[in-house]
Amino acid sequence: MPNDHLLLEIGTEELPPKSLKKLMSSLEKNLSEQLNSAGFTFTATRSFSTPRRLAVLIEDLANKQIDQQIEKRGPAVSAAFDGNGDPTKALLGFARSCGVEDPTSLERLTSEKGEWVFYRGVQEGKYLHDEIELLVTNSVANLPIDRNMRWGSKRLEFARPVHWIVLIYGNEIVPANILGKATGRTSRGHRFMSDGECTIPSAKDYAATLEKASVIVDFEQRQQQILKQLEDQASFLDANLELDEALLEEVTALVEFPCALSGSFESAFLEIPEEALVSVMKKHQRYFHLTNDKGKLLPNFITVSNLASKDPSIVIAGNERVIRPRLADAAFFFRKDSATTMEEKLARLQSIVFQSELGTFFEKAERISKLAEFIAKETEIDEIASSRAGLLCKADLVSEMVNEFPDLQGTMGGYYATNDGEDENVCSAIRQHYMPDYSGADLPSNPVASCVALADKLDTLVGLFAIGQPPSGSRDPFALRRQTLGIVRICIENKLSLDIRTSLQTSLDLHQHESSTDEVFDYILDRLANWYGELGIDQDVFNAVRYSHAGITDLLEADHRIRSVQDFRQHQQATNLIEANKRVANILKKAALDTLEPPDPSLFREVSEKSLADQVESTQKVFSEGSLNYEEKFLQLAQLQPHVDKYFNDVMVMADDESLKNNRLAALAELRLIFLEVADFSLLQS
Amino acid sequence: MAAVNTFQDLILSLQKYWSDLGCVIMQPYDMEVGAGTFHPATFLRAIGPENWQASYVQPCRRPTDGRYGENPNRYQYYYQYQVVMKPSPENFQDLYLDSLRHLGIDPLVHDIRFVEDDWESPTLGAWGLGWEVWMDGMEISQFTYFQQVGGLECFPVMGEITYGLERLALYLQGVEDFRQLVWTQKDDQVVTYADVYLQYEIEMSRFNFDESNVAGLFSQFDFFESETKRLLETGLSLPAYEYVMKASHVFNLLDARQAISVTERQRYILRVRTLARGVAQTYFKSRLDLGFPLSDAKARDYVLQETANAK
Repeated sequence: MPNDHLLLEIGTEELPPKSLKKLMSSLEKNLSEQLNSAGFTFTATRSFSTPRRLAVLIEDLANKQIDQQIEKRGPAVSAAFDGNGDPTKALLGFARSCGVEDPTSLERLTSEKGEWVFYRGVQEGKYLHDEIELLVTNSVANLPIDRNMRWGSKRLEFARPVHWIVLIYGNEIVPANILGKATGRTSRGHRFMSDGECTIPSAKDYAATLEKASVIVDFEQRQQQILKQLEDQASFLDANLELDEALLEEVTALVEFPCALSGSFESAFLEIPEEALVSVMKKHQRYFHLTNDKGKLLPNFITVSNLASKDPSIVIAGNERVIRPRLADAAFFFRKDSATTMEEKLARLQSIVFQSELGTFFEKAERISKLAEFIAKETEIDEIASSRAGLLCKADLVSEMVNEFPDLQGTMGGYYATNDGEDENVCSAIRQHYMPDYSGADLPSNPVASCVALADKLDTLVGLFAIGQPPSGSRDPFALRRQTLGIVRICIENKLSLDIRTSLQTSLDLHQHESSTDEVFDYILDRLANWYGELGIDQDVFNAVRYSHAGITDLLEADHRIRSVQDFRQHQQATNLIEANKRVANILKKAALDTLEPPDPSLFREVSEKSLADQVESTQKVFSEGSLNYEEKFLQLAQLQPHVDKYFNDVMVMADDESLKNNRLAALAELRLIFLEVADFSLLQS
Repeated sequence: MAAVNTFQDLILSLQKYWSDLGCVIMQPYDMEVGAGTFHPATFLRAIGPENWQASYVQPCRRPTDGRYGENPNRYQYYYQYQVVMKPSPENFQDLYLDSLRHLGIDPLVHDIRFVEDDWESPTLGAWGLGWEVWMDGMEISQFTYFQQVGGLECFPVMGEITYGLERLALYLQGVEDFRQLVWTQKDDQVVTYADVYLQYEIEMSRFNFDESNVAGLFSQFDFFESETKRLLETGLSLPAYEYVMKASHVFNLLDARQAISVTERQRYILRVRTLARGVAQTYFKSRLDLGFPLSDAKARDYVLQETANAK
C-alpha cells in the first residue's frame, strides 16, 4: 500500500512553557492512537515543539485504511428458500444488505446445528484524505490544556490563539479545517530572525526548513544545545554551573533559537543570603546561577536569549540592569529585617491570623513550642531547644524578605535567628521545620527540627479537624494531606518513637478543644495505609497490624511490625497460620467473648485441648519476657500450628454441653489474643 | 522615524501610533486607580458584545510599592500606557511589536519575548490569559486576552496591552534610574522625572506608610461600599463604579499601613469584588436595554440569545 510521511503543525501565539512538553507528547500520542484505531498503519512518530508551535510527524503512513474482511450469517437455509426452491423475502433482504445481487451465489455454512446462508466479503478501506480532519480534530480536542482561552469573536477554545495549521502528506497539502483554520504548507520562522512566513515543501523536510528560518523545532535538540552553551559559558567564567533540570526545560520551552549570554552583578550583593539571590535569578528571571569550587555563589548569571542579537552586549547590559534593582530591594529588606530580633518579630505575629477559629500565628507559635517540647521529651531530644525553636519558627512571616520571597519562609528565620545569636540547633530547626515541603522532599536532618516540624504539622492537623474542617475531595487549603505524610515520614524515616495518640491529645489540649482525636487519628492511619501502598506493602498486611490488639500508636514501632508481617507472609508456615486464625476468628465471632471466664483445665476432655493450652501458655510466657523481635515471635507462633491442627481435628468446639463449649471458646480466645498482640492474621489473604 | 528621546515623546509616539490604528484616544481617568485596567474604558467596555478600541495614559497608585524614591525603578505612583481592542484583532501581537519598532526598538538587537503570565484581579473579579513582554529580561508590557470581567464571560474577547512607560523610557534613554529620565528637553533646558515627581514620591511614601489616617480610611471604605450598593439599586452603574474605584484605593492605602490582617484582607477583597460584580451586572443590563448599539450583529445576537437562555 502506498505510504508517505504526514506532518501536522499547529502554529500559535506563545504557549505556556511549563506545559509545552506535555502538550507535545500528548498530541503525538493522541494522533498515533487515532490513526491506529482507524486502521491506518505507520512505522514511527516524532514530535516537535517551540513556544509558537506543536508538531507531529507520522512516518510511512498508509494512505488508506486496511481492507476489512466482512463475514455475516444470514437466514437458515430452510427459511431462505420456499417450497419451490425460490429465495424467500428473508434471503432477498439479507442479500440486499450485503450488496449481493444474486442471492443464490451466497455461500452456505454448515455446523452441527444446521445450515445457514453465509456472506463473505471485503470492505474496502477509506482514504486518509477523507478521514484525517476528524482524526486530527479528535487528537487536538483531547490535549491536556490547563486553562483554555478564547480570542477575537470566536467561540473556539485552545491554550493560546491559533494562527496557522500545516498539514502535509508527502509533499501534498491535505485540505482540511482544523481549529478554525484551513490547512496549508505555510509555517512561520523565527519572529525576528526570519522573513516570517516559510513554506514547508514536504513533511520530511520540516525540521530542516525551519532550521533555515532560525527555529530549532526539536525540543531535545534545542535543550542539548542550551546545555552545551551553558557549560561553555560556565567554563569560560571558570565556574560551576548549578543546573536545575526544571529550569532548563522551562527555558527550552521559552525560546526558538537559544543563545546563552552571561552577565554579572556587584559582589556587594553577596551579603544577601544565597537563597534569596538564587530565588531572584531562578524564579524571577529564569537565570542559571554559578558557584566556585568551594560551592559559594558567584556574582554571575547566565540567561538564555531567544535570538543571536546583532549586539549581545546590549542584551547583557539590559539583563544586568533588571537584576540590580531586584537585588537592591532584597538587600534593603534584609538589612531592615536584621534590625529587629526574632523575638520582636514574634510579637508582631499577634496581629496575623493563622485561621479565624484557630487564632493568630502568635498563638500557634506558643502551641508549637509546647508541643515540640512534649515531643522532644518523649523522644529524648533537646527539650529547651525544641521549645525555643517552636516559639520562634513562624516569626519570619512578618519579615520583608518573606513577604517578597514567600518560598524563603523558614530559611530567612534561620538567618535572623543566627544573627540574634540563638543556639545552633534552634536556628537549624527554624530553617528546616517546613520540611518535607513537597512530596518526596528531604526530611529535617536536625533532631530538634524534627520535633518542631512534627509539632507544627500536628498542630495544624488537629486544629482543623477540631473545628470541623478536615480536607475533603479537592479542598485542602492547608495541605493537610501533604502535612500528614510529612508526620508519617519524619516519625518513621527519622526513627522517632512517639505515641501519636498521646501527641494528638496533647495538641488538642493545647487548642483547648473538647472534641475527640478519633477522626484525626483515623485520617493519619488512612494516609499511612496509602503511603505503605505506594511502598509496595500489601494492604491486608497493613490492616492486619492496624486492627491488631496492639493497634498502631507508635508509627516507628508499627513500621517494624508491618514489615515483619510482610516478610513473614512469604514463609511456608504463614498460610496455615492464616487459615487457622480465620477459623478461630469465625468461631469466636458467634461468641459473647466478654462473658467468658478463663479456660478451666478441669473441663478439658481431649488430650489436644490440654496440649494446645500448654503451648499457648508457654508462648505467652516467652512473649512476656520481651526479648523476642517480631520475626522470632512469628516463628514461635508458627510452632503452634500442629497443635492447632490437631485440636480442630479432635475437638468439637460447639459442644452441646454449654460449659464445655464456653471453656473451648475461652481457650480459643486465649490463642487468638497472642496472635492479635502482633497482628490480626485472620485479615491476611492466604 | 524620529528618535523618542524624552518621556513625553514616548507618550506622544504611542498615542500617534494607536490613534492611526483607529483607537479612541482617551485621557487618564481623574481618580486614583491601581492599574489602567480600572479605567472604565477598559473594565466596563470589556463587558457585553460591543466593539471598542481605545488607548490612553493612566497614572497608577500602588501605595505599597513606595520606596521614598530610593529604588531606581519602583515607585508608588507611575504611568501605564493602556491599549484595548475588542474584539482582539488577529494580528494583535504584531501590532504591539510594530509599536516597539515605532519607538525605535530594534527586535534584532533586543531580546523580546512573550513569557506566560496569566492575569487575575481578585478585586475586579476578572481574569485573562497572556504574557509579560520581556525586553532583555525586563518586563516592559503586559499582554492579556480577557476571559472574564466582573464575574461575566467576555465575548467577544477584549485584548489589552499595558506598557510600563518608565521602564520603557529607561531603555530608550539608556539610563538606570527613574530620577534620571528626561521628561522633556528644549535646547539646553532639561526637565527630569525627578524634577517633576521626586518630592511627590518621597512625601507620598511617608503618607502611605506612616501618615494616612487609618480610622478615617476604614470609615471611608464603609461609606463607599454602602453608597455603591445604594447607587446600584438606582441602576446608576457609572457613578457606582467610581465609588468602587475609591473603595479599592482606600483598601490599598489601608494595606500599606498594614492595618488589615491576612484573613481580613481576603474579606476586604471579597467586599470590593462583590461591588465590582454588581457594577458589571448593572452596566451590562443598561447596555442590553439600549440594544448594545456598538455591537456587530452576530455577536449581539449570540449574547442576546445567551441572555434569554439564562432566564
